[in-house]
Amino acid sequence: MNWNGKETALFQQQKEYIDTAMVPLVPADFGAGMIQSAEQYEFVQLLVVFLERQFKGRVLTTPPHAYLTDSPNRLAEAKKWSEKLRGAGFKHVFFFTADSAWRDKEEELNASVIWIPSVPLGDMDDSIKYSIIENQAKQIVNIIVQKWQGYAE
Amino acid sequence: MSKQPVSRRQFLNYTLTGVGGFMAAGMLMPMVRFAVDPVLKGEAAGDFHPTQQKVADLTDVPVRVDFSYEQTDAWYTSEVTSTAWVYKNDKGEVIALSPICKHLGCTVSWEGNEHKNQFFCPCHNGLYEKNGKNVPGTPPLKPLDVYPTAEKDGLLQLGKPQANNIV
Ligand code: FES
Repeated sequence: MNWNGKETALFQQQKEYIDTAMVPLVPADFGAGMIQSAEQYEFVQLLVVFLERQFKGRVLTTPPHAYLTDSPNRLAEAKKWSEKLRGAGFKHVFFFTADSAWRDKEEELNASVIWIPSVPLGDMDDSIKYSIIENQAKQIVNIIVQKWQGYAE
Repeated sequence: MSKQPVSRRQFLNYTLTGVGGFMAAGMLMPMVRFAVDPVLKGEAAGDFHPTQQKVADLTDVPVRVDFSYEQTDAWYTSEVTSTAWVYKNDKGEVIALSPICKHLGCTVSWEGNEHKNQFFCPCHNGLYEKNGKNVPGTPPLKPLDVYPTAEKDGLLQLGKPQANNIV
């Protein structure tokens, strides 16, 4: 489900089936790292949109969680998101990020972190963009399905 | 005071007419567009999107056909990519099924998770027969939608998915 009025309403009716939250985790850098941070955002968003389409009936995409790159609280803030989502009944919480700083933070966040090095999509043709995203997404599809199966055991 | 070339009343009149004009244009423009834009009419009549799939290459095993086309909604024109599962039935007719699960909308795959001769939905283990019929006892309550199909220069074309009438 996407983060809009209609689909969140559906989520509330179908909570028993929609047990997974997908959170885009993106840096906001307004200085020298601006372009890179924007590219990461672009990439992560496209990826999450793709995954949402695959798994619409079981996932809810949240608004992106953006953090200032030099903020000392960023870990604590992300952790709050994960806690709130668990409190709302999500059994699985996935953060999607292109920032490698999060790679080893799964335990602290009590959530899965899917780290994907971002590809600068720039002025690439739409169809090429799509196949790049699709290739990345396929591997993530498997990771998500495995997590679901693990939980069922 | 009275030396002002535009009185308060006139000023209000002008501005309100201006605003009203914009509002009227805002209401009329879409109507005009609907009336004159043949593309929009075509869409309503259900036109076909081309794919790269050769009809001659289709067999009785469903294959995934991706196709993209431009779609304009109120804000953006965007390139959308859709998918169909396509095969030929015993009579040699082309069948194209929508991969959107009728439970809550995940994407189903042919023989996913080792389910022989069925479509599988990974989200809540939904199952469908090859013709799209939902398997009772799994979450989906309706069969998969069907795309109207057409052929042009040997290539498959797909329309807008409709409720399944072949099961
Ligand atoms: S969305 Fe397919 S079984 Fe629930």
